[in-house]
Amino acid sequence: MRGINPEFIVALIAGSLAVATLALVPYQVPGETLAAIRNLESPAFFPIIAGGLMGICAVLLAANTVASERAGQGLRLTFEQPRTVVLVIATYIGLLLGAHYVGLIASSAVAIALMAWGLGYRNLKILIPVAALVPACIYLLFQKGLFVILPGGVLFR
Amino acid sequence: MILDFGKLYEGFLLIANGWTPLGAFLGLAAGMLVGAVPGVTATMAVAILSPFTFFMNPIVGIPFLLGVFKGIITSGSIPAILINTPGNASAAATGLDGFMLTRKGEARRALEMSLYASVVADMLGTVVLIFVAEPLASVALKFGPPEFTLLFAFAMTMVATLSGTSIPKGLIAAALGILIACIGLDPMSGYERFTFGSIELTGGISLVPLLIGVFALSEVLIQSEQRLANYILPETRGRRVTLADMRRVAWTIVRSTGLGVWIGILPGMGAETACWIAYGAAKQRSKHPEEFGKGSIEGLAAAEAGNNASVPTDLIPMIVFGIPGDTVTAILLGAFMAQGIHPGPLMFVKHSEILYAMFASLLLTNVLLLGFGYIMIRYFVRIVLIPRALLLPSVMVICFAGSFAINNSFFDIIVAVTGGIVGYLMRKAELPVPPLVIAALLTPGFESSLRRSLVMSDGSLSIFFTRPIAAVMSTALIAGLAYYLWKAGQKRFAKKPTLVKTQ
Repeated sequence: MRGINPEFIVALIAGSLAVATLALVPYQVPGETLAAIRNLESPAFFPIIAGGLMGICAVLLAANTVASERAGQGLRLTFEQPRTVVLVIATYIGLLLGAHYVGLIASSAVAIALMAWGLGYRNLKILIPVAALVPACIYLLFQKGLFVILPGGVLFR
Repeated sequence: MILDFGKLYEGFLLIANGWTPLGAFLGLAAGMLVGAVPGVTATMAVAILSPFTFFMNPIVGIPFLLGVFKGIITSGSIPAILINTPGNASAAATGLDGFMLTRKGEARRALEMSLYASVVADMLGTVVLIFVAEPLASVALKFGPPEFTLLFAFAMTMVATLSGTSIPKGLIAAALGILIACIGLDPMSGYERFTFGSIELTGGISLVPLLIGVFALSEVLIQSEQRLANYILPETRGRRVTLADMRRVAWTIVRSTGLGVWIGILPGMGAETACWIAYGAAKQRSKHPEEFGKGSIEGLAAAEAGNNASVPTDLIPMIVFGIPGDTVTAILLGAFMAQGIHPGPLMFVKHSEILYAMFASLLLTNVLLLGFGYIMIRYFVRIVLIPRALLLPSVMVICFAGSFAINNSFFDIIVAVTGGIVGYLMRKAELPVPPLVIAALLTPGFESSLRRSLVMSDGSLSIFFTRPIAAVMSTALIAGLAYYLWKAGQKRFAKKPTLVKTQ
């Protein structure tokens, strides 16, 4: 079978995260070292347990994955429509940046229009009103109804 | 302690303010609207709508959220019946017979039966909740930090049931949840942990934006990846439910309700399991099992009664012990905590008025569900037709606004987006998300109660074996874990069947 086994990636990331967590304990939990594993009252106890558990499970997962690969039963990472996934993640990041620089409401209208178009919706007579109405409703509900000051954008300050 | 009817009456008086019924009604309407859209899960809907409640009085906000939960479970059957695409996993069994009835031109009958079975089961489930919660809480009130530590340890073992096929993967997700919960100030000493000098991280990772990310934004990514189908709405007029139909399914509804109630109480199981078990039991006991899967009104009623009966009793572990039974109650727990209400046995002492108002509003919501559902069901069917290409971007924007609104913090939007992308990748790699959420929710309480217990015993673990209730719980926990490991070992080392080579 070709392609990547996602379990290898999970094991690799979990293993790295476990090592990083354990290595960071002396720096990120004041006055504590890995010796705190013997002291249940220490603030470092739970982070060490979590890091250790993650490390052990990463090794177990890696071992399981090797066994399943040898048996020809390994998982394969599949993306049915990779372009769509990239589009949606790009929209998330774009909306995040847009909300910071030009405000959430204005950037929402653009994000809705672009994402819906990217997902294959072509009826502009409906798309444009929806792209305008949804942010308007959010503005009315949050800002006027719930008195939440939504991000207005640093460029307009 | 038995049910205090005086408190329940006071609960009714408290919600008779106009705003609570309005909140419950709006929650129900929102839940039914969202639930009728194929693919919008109950978890996703509750996650999206929970930030709205933070600006409401708990007496209004909590009934709103419970209305959402009930509405979405009920209306998930609409697309299952009409287009054979369940609105959420809890309506999967409904589609088996519901869609066959639609094909026979009896969509109206199927929709009405699904509503009636849901309302009856939900009402009975709510009555069980009201009668069971307080006596259980009176036992839990005798608990001290050691007993709570063991209770949290029990709840953590739920990770095993939520891990799917791979325990290491479930434990990796749980460890990630523990690490997320450790970020911020240490609950006992006040020391900063894993904040990297960031002011935003000092207060810890806000849970509700994280939940919005891992459940709602990741779902948007998953759904956008699937082919976006266009549906054709079938005819929804025609034959309706008769009294003879109701008489025929009465016992099926009662039996399915009993099963749903029991499954709801069990941690790690909810409406999506209840519908199948109730359906299976109904088929076994039916005089006409051959009709199941071919348009049986009994099968439809069983599935709907099973999933709706589990909704109120799903709340029992959360209300009584402060531990979530599944992912939806995990989000509800987060919403309660954001309101300053910490579910658990002390809730019956500190916030009994809110609790009984909640019970009263659960009963009220059922009545509203019947009336609203009966009138609106023919209009809700049109929601099935909303194009997902328009819906998903709108959900995304609501998630962004909701994440920000909780703490007025831009950092929370970053948490939600990160949670969304990580949640999506976890789901693609078949790494279960619920253990992460459960661990993140339980770790602060687990850590505090463990360390308090050790302070009480001068650091000795004997405190978990010398107190009577704690000793029973420790024994049960150890026995349960030993049994689980034995079963897992047996399964792993079971003799594999020998393959015979044939020519």
